[in-house]
Amino acid sequence: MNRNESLRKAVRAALAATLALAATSIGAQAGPSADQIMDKVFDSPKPKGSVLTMTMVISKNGQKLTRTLTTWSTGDNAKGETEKTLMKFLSPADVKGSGFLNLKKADGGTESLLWLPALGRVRRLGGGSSDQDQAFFGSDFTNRDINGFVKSDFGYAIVGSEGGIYTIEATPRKSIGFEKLVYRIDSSIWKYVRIEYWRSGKIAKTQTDEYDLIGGYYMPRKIVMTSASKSSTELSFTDYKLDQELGDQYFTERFLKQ
Amino acid sequence: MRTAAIALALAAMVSAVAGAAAQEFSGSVEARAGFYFDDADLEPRTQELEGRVDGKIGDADMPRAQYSARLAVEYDPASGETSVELGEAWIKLFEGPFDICLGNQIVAWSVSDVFYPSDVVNPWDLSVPIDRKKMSVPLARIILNGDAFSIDLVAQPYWIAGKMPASRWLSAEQASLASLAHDETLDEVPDFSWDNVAVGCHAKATIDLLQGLDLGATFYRGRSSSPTGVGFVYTGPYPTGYYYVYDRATLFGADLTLAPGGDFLLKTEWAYTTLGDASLISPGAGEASAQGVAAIEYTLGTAQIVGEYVFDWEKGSAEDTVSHSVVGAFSWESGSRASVKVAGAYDFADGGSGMVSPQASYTLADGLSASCELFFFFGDSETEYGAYSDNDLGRISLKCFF
Repeated sequence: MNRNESLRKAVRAALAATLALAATSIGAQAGPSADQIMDKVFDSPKPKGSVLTMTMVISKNGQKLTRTLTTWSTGDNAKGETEKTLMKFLSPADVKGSGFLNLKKADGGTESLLWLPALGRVRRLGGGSSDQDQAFFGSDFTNRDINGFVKSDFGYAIVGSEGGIYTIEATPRKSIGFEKLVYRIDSSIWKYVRIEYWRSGKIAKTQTDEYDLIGGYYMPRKIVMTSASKSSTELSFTDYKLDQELGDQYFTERFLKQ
Repeated sequence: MRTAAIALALAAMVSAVAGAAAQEFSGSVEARAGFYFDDADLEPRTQELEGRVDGKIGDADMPRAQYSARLAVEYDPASGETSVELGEAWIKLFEGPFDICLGNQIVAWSVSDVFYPSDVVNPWDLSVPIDRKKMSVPLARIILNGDAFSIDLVAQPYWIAGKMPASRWLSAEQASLASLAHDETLDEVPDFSWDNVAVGCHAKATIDLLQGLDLGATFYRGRSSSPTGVGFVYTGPYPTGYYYVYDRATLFGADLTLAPGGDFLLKTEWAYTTLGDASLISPGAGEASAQGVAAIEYTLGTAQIVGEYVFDWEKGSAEDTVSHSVVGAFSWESGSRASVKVAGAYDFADGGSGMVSPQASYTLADGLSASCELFFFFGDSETEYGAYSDNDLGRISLKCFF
């Protein structure tokens, strides 16, 4: 490691520490409002288009099922664009070739198509809340968890702040199957590192997120969803290709079936 | 012979391109057992080994071409017979907005989940009618892909007959022929000629309305793959045998799928078919028919409820036949491994008849699953489902994918 690099790292660390401290002290004093914090989270820089490999390990009672998918995504609701995501299963053999296309409009409307090679046809899915609440291919994640929320889905309130981590309570404005979500947001990267999903006064499931800085963006390395029923699903992300020019041809029935 | 020729041609194509392709082998092994309740004994039914090869040529994401071939070997312990069947085996070229696909294919145009009025291209294997398997057929197919529409054109050079129900699954009408001999040599099978090349088209438009709207239209002109008439052989005053007639069929269809928002999905699909002189016994009967389905899907958490109304009309020589039936299915997924489904159908004709089928499946490990299903039929023996009331059955299967 040369001297310049050491210096840059030290400056970066000091800057991060200063920002974290500033965030903590801001939270303790007047500070940013919950909406301002969530603006930073939802408006944090996102790659224009990305391709990645996702490995999903579903664990329950000591037994595991593993699924691998390739994901293409583009668009940003925060910029008024439709967020488009297409997923194709690589393994295991019984679901290989199956695919899922989701178009999430900025107004919150969702259009979903499912390709099941065994049936030989593309099925349209309803865009309603229950469809979105269905388990994502049998995992502890729902389709909604995978598709993500838009900021306007919730009302926000700060309920805590410590060590650069804000705790934000999010109350849904429409039914999402949970009475509230509690976010823990790392103010050094403006990403949530933990989400608690509350139902009937108890935590129904907990999501933890880890990030890597890749190509100038904080991208998830690992997301773990642990349900109160003792099952858990771990998503690991590899083979990131960011800022890809993914044209509309990637988000079509034709590409879904290829 | 024809199948072997197609297989060889495809094998040659695949071999020619294999060097430039990302190729993958996969397959499955399935063992099935089943029993009819009136037989009491559990009888091993079939063991099936299916192998398949899939590949892409060119870029893995946006390939220039894609191919797939399946071969199934099935052993039936009851009869001791082994059969080898070529399934789908095709090569597809992507050229601009066109997909050009040649080979043995299965075409799915229907949007409905239980009855398929628009799925007219492939013959049906009705050996066990509750399974209603499509048979792949040699086709030339061109799909034009637009931004919000697609046009799917198919041409089938060779006519292929569907498979009739096994003896215990014959309808009351079909069973009445059982005392006579089927003289297959007299079957009026369409021969190969330009006039007998079947052609079809399905156009689909996607409209950005509510949570998505798909509109489709279907046209097909070919020969029916199921017998549309029966001729009788007379060597004396009474018929001693019978043969099948397969008529020219023309179908016009329309379908709609709408996601209105909320937790609902609405589907409807209608088809109108005209035949040549379908009945040699009752001239005019069956010359026109119409089938329609109106369906609603409702999703509630990890459960899904599907309800379908099915309309069936057939022109008669004196009086038309109209029947109405309903189908319902409830399915529920429990976690990543287990799923349960209960399906039922009820036909209102002749005092009513129906069928109920509970099913369950469980994923034992990655690529290894087990399933069981039961079928119960009720109604008078002359009715749609009551005809099978001696066929209540249970089936289990173990399937391994590799």
